[in-house]
Amino acid sequence: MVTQNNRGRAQLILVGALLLATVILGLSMLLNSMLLTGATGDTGATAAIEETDFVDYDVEMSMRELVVRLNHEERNRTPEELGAVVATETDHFSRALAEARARSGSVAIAVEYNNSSSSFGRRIVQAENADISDSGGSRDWDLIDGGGRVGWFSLSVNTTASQDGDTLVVEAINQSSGDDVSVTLDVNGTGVDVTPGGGTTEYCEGERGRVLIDVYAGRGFTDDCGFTGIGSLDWPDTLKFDANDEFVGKYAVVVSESTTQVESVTDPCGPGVDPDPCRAPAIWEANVTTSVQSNTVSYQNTANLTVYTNDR
Amino acid sequence: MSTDRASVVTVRGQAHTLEGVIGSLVILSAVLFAMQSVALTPSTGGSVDVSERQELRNQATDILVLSSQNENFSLSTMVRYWNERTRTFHGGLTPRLGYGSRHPPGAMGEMLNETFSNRSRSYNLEVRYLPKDPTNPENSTTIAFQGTPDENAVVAKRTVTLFDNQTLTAPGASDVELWQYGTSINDQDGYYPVPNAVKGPVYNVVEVRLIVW
Repeated sequence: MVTQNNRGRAQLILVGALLLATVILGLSMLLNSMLLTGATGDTGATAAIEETDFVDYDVEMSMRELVVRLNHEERNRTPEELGAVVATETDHFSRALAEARARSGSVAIAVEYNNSSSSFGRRIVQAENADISDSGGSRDWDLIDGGGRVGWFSLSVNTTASQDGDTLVVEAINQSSGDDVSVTLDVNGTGVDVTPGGGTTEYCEGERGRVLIDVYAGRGFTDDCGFTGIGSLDWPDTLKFDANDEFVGKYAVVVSESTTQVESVTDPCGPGVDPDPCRAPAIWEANVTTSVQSNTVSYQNTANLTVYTNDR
Repeated sequence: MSTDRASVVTVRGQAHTLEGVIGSLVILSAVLFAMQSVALTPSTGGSVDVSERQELRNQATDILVLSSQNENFSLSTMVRYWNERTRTFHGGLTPRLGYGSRHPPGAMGEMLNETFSNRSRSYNLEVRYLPKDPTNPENSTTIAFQGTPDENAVVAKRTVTLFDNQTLTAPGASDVELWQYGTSINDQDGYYPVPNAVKGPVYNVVEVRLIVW
């Protein structure tokens, strides 16, 4: 026979088990909901951040390329006109980028160019085929002697108008350190032999009587030739030319400063006045604002992009 | 008397046993339920492993980033590595498959091969571009198609800006600038599917998408 006391003790075990089970169930549900919420939240934020991860980098790379093209498009623009053109084309680019991003995600992007916060350098251009010499006809001369960093030097050699053996020596110097890099260009048939100082000679083939060479980066535009360009020098601020004969071609050099220190080419380019070579404005540092907005990430980033180097 | 007492002890023992068994079953059920429900996250069921997908996405993103910074064969070079005659990317199989299961050229192809193909992963690589006519649904071309992605696929993407005065980069390509190409297959001026969709010197802003599973 089961007494009342014994039955109560047995029921106590059952009630205890039920209580313990309830506690376990409650804790598990609580823990589960925390984990679920955490995991869901992380996934959303991570996706948004990933979508915006490389926006700034993509914008910087594209804006540099865009501004370089616009700097070199015309030589008769004033700084204000150049700034207006860059602002307009940045707007076109911004809309295209926003549309491209909107098609595959939920991130809104806008890019804006600010001309008043940008800084200008100068572009020295010889746009007609001519001897590479100074205004007095000297072939051993300094195009730039201090007064800013050289960031671009493209040369178009006219192999038809030049003779085999015509040679131009380009020397870039960093006046502070005294370091220098020289490149010797030697007309050879339809191409040019390019020899960096102390290096091996590379043949750059031409097309239709011209050889296009990026002397700064050390590569050919019309060929896959490569050599050590003057851009390998840290801060080249002086550019010397020495031609042995009539070395015919066109060139464009961009320097960081708009003020004149010592340089041979001082005539401004402009409509009605057409000196050759002449000086035109070039945007050296572009002030660009990138705005990014999504459901979870929103920011604005303004940077001064150095157009001809990767500094910012 | 002794029979009654023995009977009482037996019944009490059976009651304790029964209560204990029921109690243990209740606790066991609760523990089993808790063990099952604690792991209920988006990755439950084995179909989605969040950390694995994240790692896969990081690898895909890294490949696109490294490729875009490659001086010899950048993403822009890849996008313009077009063969007019075969109407696909140079060395590709067909316009629909692109490179298919072959790996694309350049460092990017090698990275894709080493990172994914050699580990039994599949990927699709495609270029999405802005259409000249916004109503035109045709706005992508295939660099490599290896199949239909499954539900665990991850996507990495980068945007590349093309400019009017750039040229195609495939071996033997002419020095015709992009803006001079037609976007119709029968175009006499040459065929490049990416159209000039932006005013000014910008030609198009394309998105290179890498889908891995």
